[in-house]
Amino acid sequence: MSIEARDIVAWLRAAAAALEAQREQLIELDRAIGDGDHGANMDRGFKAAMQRVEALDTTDIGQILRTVAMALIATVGGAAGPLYGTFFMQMASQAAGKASLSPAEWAAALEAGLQGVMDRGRAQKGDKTMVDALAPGIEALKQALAEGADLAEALRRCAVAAEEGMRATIPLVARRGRASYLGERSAGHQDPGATSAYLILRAAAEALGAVP
Amino acid sequence: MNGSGAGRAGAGGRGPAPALVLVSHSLRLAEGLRDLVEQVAGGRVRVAVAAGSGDGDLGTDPLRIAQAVEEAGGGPVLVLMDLGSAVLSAELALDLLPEDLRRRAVLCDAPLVEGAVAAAAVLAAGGSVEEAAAEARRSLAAKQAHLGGATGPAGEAASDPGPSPGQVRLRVRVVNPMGLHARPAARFVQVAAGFDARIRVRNLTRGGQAADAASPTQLALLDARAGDELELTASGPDAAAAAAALRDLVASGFGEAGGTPDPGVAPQPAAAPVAVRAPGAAPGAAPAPGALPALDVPPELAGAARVLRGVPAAPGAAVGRLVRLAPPDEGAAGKPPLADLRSTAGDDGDALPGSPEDAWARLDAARSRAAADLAALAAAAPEGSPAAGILAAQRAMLDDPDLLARLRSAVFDRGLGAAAAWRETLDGLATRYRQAQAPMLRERAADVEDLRDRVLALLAGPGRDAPGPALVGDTGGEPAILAAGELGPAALMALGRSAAVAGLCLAGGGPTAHAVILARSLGLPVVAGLGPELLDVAPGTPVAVDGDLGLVLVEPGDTARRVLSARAEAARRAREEAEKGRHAPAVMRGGRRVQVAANAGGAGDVAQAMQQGAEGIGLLRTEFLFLDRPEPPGEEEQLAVYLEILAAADPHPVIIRTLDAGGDKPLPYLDTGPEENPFLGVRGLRLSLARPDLFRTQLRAVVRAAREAGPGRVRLMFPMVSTLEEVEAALAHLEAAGGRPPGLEVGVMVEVPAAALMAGHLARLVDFFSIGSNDLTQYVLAAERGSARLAALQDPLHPAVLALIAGVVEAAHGRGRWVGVCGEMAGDPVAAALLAGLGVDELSMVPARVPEIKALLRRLDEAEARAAAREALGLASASAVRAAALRRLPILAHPSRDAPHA
Ligand SMILES: Nc1ncnc2c1ncn2[C@@H]1O[C@H](COP(=O)(O)OP(=O)(O)O)[C@@H](O)[C@H]1O
Ligand SMILES: [Mg+2]
Repeated sequence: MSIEARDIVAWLRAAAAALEAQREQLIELDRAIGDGDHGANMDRGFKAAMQRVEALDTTDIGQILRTVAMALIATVGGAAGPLYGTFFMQMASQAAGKASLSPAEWAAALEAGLQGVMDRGRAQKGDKTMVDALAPGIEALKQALAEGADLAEALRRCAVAAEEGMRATIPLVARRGRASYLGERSAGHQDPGATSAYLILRAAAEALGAVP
Repeated sequence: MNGSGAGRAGAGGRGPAPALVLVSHSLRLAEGLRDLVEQVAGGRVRVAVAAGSGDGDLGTDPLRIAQAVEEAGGGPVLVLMDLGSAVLSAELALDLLPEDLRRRAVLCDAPLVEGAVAAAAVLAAGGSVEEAAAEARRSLAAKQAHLGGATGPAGEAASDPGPSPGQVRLRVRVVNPMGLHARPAARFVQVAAGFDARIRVRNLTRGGQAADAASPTQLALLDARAGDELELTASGPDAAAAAAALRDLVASGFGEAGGTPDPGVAPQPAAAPVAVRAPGAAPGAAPAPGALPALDVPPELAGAARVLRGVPAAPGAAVGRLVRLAPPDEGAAGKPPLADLRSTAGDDGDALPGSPEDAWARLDAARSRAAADLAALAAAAPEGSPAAGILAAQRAMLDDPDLLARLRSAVFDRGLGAAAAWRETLDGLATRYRQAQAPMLRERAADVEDLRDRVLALLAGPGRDAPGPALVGDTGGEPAILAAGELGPAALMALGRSAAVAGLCLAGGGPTAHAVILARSLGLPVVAGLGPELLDVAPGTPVAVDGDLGLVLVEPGDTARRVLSARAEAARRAREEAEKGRHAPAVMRGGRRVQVAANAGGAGDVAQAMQQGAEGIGLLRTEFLFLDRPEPPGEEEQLAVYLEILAAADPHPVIIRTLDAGGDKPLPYLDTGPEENPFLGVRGLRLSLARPDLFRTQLRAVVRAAREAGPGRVRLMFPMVSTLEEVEAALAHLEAAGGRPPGLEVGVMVEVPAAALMAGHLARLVDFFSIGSNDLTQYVLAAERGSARLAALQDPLHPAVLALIAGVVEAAHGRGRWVGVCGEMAGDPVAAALLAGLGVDELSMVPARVPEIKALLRRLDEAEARAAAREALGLASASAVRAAALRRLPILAHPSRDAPHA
């Protein structure tokens, strides 16, 4: 049971498709507490990333993820650019030179990505950012694997926890990012970055859940 | 690739020249800034721009930033950026660069514009990148010092050996990550100002001079950061309470990120000598689950079990326990179905079965008793006050022929008992009022119900003849805070007189509801429009009312109790002080004088106004001459009344407003007919122009009064003006009515947005403008006055309204005309301060508000008020305006205290 380069590409495709499908919703969310560009940013970034990824001819997962990182960095424009860029960059360095990842390696790569985001953005859980979906999701993934769940189940629990984390951002007051300028008025709205993070983790459950 | 790496000339000489990289979301901003920088750097500093993302989109691009650093010429690089993702992108850009390049670059956390200019100056003079970065970080200080009103050095020398007798000294650690920066410093000042204490603060960790808790600048200069220990020294009557409240505020992290207090641990009990770090500050700690962050609740008011949010209807604060009115009358009014009340039904009011004649006699007796009670209440109200007027109107209702006819028919034709007949008739009347178009009439419904209950109580028997409604709820000796759906004025008067009630919360009702106007004249804080949740709060529950912010705290926290009690007490003291100085002029700090006048609706008001220290009548509503009579008043009658009023106001000027009737204020002899939309119909000057006979009579009376009283005493004003043509027509009538005697100023009211926007043109025709802020607000926000459901939209502090007022002032002053404001807002401290800041020349209000507003203006610094008004114009909502004004002008929240002045 391992994750091959083509599975990673399938994940990224699924993520790109989800972000495209939810573009307007993300824009709405960001409009409420930010500047309304998150959906466009993410859609643009992932489209650019997929263009470059599809043009690659490699089984090096590290290279694939690095390509995604650079594309996001160059094209997203908002805070999500450097943050997701860092996320994939850190994943890439965990996966450098590898053509397949064990579930534990996959979880470790995601965790490195999360750590990168937290270092870059100085955000903690509860600050109403993408961290609030990523952290519980990845936590649940590790936990499930530790309990002996198979990858599909672990990814399912990952997505569920990420979704809960995403919803739990609604009452929070933003402490990082543009929404923090709103202070307490940011409460009552779901964080757009947490939403896109959930979509990306859910895409993994969809695309990798069927991994043999 | 647009924008990146466009460095200009480099200076020769020692080593590669330093460079500046400007990172912004906006390419245009960065390029404009580069031009500014070039002015000071004169080509001696390389300036590169890395701004925008994609093809001219707003955003930041780490790759562009990396490239700009790379191309900066091999010397040291200072990177300045705007906000948000710019910071993240710049950091990421450095990560992307090779080690040697990365080490040459410094990311600077200074504000972009100030920082870039300051840094360029240092670099151009040969300074190092580090020196430039340091200078950039300091660059905001000049602006802060300028706008923050800092004067003189920060406090006197600081190190006294120990607390002297009567002093309280506490230590507390700063826990919020940002430290005591501008916003927390402002909160600190506000909380401190609520106490009668002198408070000094030292930063034990960093040393330096002690700061006066009244000065946000001095506090900010303490440079207190997370982890620093502060020492608070308080003296004066409230020393202990003040120190404890401030300690709690600091320990709670000012409610900021990382400092969220855990309800279990902070605030510290008063005995704890040193506050511990709030546990929420631990890195990674998630906020307590389920704890919904309350919106807009300042941190020192946090900790309540529930926060209800309404409209700030009358300023002030009160702490006590919630009481409710006893249901109108358990026996009579409380009985629901009418059928049960048929003459022989055994309810209290109709316990005695009897003939219709008996019922009628009992009704007669109860009515005259009610009339007597109302008269007694009116006599207790200040003469000419709105209370007296409203009570008189209620009394008149008792004898209303239409009402009597209906009552008679209920008793004699349908055989209802006295209570049932009264109840049904008054309910019917209340319903008709409620369904009326005009909000003024709809508000009368509460008056009708109040009257219904009063008489029902009397009918219920001699044992119940005390008409003051009973209060439900054990206050345990604390002040009572009355919660009600709506409240009739007579009940309110009875309560107000009993002095048992310290504050009022209403589920419905806008700021113009009668009860609210009355409460304001009694000095009670009121929050209206709280919604039905208010009525779920059990009687006896501890509550606190913040009439400034429109908050009701259910089971308030200790700090909130302390802060709000202190504010209530301070307000009481301030009222006393204001009373004493009411005849002195209102000269702001900085020297500008604002005329403070009163609105009057009759001769009685004028006497009261003068007694309160009004410097004139800013609005004489002449409707009182025209109401309740079959024929309009003649010229002689009007002249006599005007002269009487002028004598009462002597030597001050009186602005006589021509009849403002029509639409919502119909008169029998004015056949205006029903209108779909009375507020948008034939009213004010429109009506006068349609009825030149009435208009000319009034103008003749005014002109004669002006001639007789002498120059400068009479000012004439037209209401509800929309166009220049209307004013030209009105002036033509004035000519025809005897012309403009010398010294008679003529002005227009600005209530219609069109008039506000045309003020520049109107200024050619008139001598002054008077802003009718109630109507202006209703027209600008398209929200009917007095509609409880639209209460939140009836806030004249909305920036859209303020912007129109600012425009009128500018247009008027540009042509040497003056501007007054004669709506409710003139008597609201926050609004009055902002209006003074906008340059308004005269504020005219209910007489009772005059002393306090004068006292407030005297304490207000002209420049600070101007700055606050400017800020308000840039904000996005009325609540933001109010909050910002309270933050910027701490004396508003705490009128008893002087502004921080060194
Ligand atoms: N410092 C930060 N740390 C973690 N996530 C952040 C940070 N700042 C912003 N975010 C996330 O980025 C999202 C906004 O992304 P986007 O709209 O693309 O950026 P911008 O706010 O610059 O317009 C937020 O919803 C939040 O989840
Ligand atoms: Mg955004």
